[in-house]
Amino acid sequence: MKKRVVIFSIVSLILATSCFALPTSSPSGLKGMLERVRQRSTVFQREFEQNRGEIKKIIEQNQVELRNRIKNKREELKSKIEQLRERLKNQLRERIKNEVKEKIVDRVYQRINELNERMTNRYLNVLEKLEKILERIESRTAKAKLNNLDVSKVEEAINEAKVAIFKAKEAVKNQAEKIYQPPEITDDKTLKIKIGNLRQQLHNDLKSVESLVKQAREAVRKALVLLAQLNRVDEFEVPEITPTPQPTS
Amino acid sequence: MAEENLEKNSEQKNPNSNFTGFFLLLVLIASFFLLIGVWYWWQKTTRTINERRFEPVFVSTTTVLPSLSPITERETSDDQTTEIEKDLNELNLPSLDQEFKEIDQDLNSL
Repeated sequence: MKKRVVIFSIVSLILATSCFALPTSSPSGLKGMLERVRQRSTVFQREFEQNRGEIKKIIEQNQVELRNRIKNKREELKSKIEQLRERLKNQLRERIKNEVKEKIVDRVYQRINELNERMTNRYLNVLEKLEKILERIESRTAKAKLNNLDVSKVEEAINEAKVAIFKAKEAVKNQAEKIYQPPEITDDKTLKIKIGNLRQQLHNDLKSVESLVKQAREAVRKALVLLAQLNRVDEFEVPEITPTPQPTS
Repeated sequence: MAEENLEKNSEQKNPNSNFTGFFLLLVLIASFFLLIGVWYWWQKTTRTINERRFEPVFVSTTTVLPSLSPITERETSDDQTTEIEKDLNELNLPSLDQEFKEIDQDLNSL
């Protein structure tokens, strides 16, 4: 009896934990052109274009959704940032007693928050463009595949690029939602160091996000280079009726 | 005498009740994890369905006219590798150090 109980418990635990590890098709959950083509033995040009149009629409919709999410979050944070700024101003008034320095520190703190918003917006712009470029690469790859070219390496690179873009987008989102706490102002001597540390913190954070955006760009470039290496790849179009794509090894 | 017998009986039953308790606890823990697992799987499935709500269904081949219009040909030209390369090369990242210039100037004046 005891044995049965233990076995039952272990089986239940395995079943439960296996649910957490269900595979997903792509990081964003969007089915690209290659995946759609793979499911079909014949594709007409009009269907192909129709699908491309739908994919583009989904990409744009996802981008708008993410932008709105970040925008709403930033709106929520604005009052919190304003509170922190007021606290900093009070500390400066009480402990520094130098109007010029007060104004400079206040301005630096404001610029730190503004710069974070501006830079994350720009990174997001780049990633959105990269997503659109990758969609075009995928479309050209699908056309090559429908013409029986071996595109397995390009497909692999496209998937890697998708993951890289997804990771970079997550990092941008987290960075955009960050609040930079002003330092505790104690005296005039340590003021510059403390504000300098805050500046450095933002610099380091943005640098690591930038690095992920660069990685995404390089991943897209790699996919493009591999695609361009295929013989006369730009000449292929979707045939009226295509033969079944050969399975790649 | 009767009390002694009762005590003895309860002592003999103790190991069984301990085992039943252990069994119930194990079943409860397993059921808990199972429920969480099912819930998580359900969330994941519904989320995927929501994300794919705009996924197009391929139009049946019998209803599609295979004739090509010049417009569709023009639409496909944006996936030429030369065009893509041009756009990718134009995609530049802003200079971080340049962006920090104003902050650094302020910091230096402190």
